[in-house]
Amino acid sequence: MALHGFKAQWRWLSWVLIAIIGVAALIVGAASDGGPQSDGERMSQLASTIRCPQCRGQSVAESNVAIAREIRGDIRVRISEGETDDEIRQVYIDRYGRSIVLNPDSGGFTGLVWIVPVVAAGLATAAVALAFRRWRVQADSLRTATEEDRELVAELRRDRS
Amino acid sequence: MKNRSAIAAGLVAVVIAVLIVLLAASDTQQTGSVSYEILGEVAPQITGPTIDGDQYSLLDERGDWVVVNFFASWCVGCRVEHPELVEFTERHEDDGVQLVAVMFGDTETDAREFFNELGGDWPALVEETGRIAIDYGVTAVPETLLISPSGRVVYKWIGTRGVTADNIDALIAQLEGGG
Repeated sequence: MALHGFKAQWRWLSWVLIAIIGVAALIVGAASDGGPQSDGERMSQLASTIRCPQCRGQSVAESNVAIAREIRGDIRVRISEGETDDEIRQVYIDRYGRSIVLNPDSGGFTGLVWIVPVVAAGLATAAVALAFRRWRVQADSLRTATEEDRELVAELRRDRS
Repeated sequence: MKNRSAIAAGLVAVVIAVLIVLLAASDTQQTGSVSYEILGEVAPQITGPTIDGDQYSLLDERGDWVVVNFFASWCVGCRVEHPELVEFTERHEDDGVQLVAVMFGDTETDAREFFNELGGDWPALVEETGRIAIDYGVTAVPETLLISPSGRVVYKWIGTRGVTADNIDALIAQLEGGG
């Protein structure tokens, strides 16, 4: 009995540990900026988030049309002038509109694009956990004999003897 | 049991509905989009050397109507509209209407050759960083903008369509008349 209790506690503890590690990994992954980047890395990363205004679904990093080349050069200059990534992105938003940025905005209504998948995954996980729990309760109830079962067995034994 | 299934189905339906709304509301304009964000704004500074070796500053033109034309020697549309710009400058040699060209994605040598070949004696800025074009939200050449005497961008032509001496004059006359 004590061993069964210990096993149950350990099982719960392991789930809690997994949950803590998972949440911690998400927080670290989301908060980490990967350390200091070179100017070239910053330029490439920024260029990959700016849509080429003249192209179909391409970033300025991928396209080689004139405006994409001009914007890549401009990003390089702005980085060397000490502008932050947000400041540089804002320049293009001011000049070409919000659709120039390929990443959806993380705030406002568009922020749901980021939130909905996480909520959906959480709900799906909870649903699976509930289903497993229900199946287990049903299985446990099948393993335990009821009073009716015992009476039936006793009756069969009496008949046979 | 039936209630739980109904709740689960309802949740799935809500999630799908939210995703559909998000997709429907998202900006699907992914190609060839034209930016008019600059209209009504104070004209960004245009300053620098010209292909003739002079220095140009838009600030010196304050009080005049200024037509800003972004061009490149490799641009077919720029060659098509160029005679109209020549005609426009011949009409406005001394009347407070200016034209300035800004090189886009080109070399100084090719730009100079372009003017030698097609004519035109208005200032043409050597712009190798693309900063001025980006400040004006240029997507591709040719693009032409009209700046009011108060220094605001009041009109933008995309491509060659509508870029004729008559059209530009008519627009200026309309705006001067308050219409």
